[in-house]
Amino acid sequence: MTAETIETERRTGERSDRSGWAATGAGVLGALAMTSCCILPLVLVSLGVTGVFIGQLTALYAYKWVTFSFAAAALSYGFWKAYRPVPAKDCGTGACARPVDRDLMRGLLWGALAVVLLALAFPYVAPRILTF
Amino acid sequence: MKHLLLAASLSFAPVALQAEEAETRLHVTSLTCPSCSYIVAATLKRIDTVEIAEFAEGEAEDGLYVLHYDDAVTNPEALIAAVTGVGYGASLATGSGS
Repeated sequence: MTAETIETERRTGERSDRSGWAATGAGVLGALAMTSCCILPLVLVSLGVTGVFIGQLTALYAYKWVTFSFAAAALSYGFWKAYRPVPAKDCGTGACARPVDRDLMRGLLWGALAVVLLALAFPYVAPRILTF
Repeated sequence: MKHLLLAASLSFAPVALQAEEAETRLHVTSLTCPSCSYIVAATLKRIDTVEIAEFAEGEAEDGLYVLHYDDAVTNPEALIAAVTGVGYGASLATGSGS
């Protein structure tokens, strides 16, 4: 294997790593966007935060399928990146040498998925757990 | 006997000084999401003495809150201001009074 081939593989591995993290970041952002209505405003008001922006945040509920689609696409790509087996030939790129990075990525993805599921279930759960 | 009468009159004094409980019906708009009615309710309940006696959800993303409160502590204008302060529309519903 020539030095040029190794360098090309290293760059490919780094690019792949970056796209995985970008997907993870996008997934986390998508999850947060999904909580902007309706969990986040409710938590803020319960903590005593007030302001017209509360009503503006809840107006984002109309776009819930847009934020859900974004989050689902980003999380799917992120999970694929985080769980696909790393081919032995790519170990030279360092992907096998940094298992902690992958664990962190997986943790963030699972956390974001939990938040997305919570946001999806909220409209059905809210009347059972919240009272006037 | 005098002491007994004095004690009895003193024990009733706080009741005589208490303000009347008032009722206001608030019509709230822009309840666009599942948690909106709870957000408005939480905001209203942060005002001293305010209790939500009833809530009726409307069909046009609106709702009617029947509120009970001590009129010496707050008033309908303050209730409306609290609701508009979190970005929702509020007005006194027809038939409201205190």
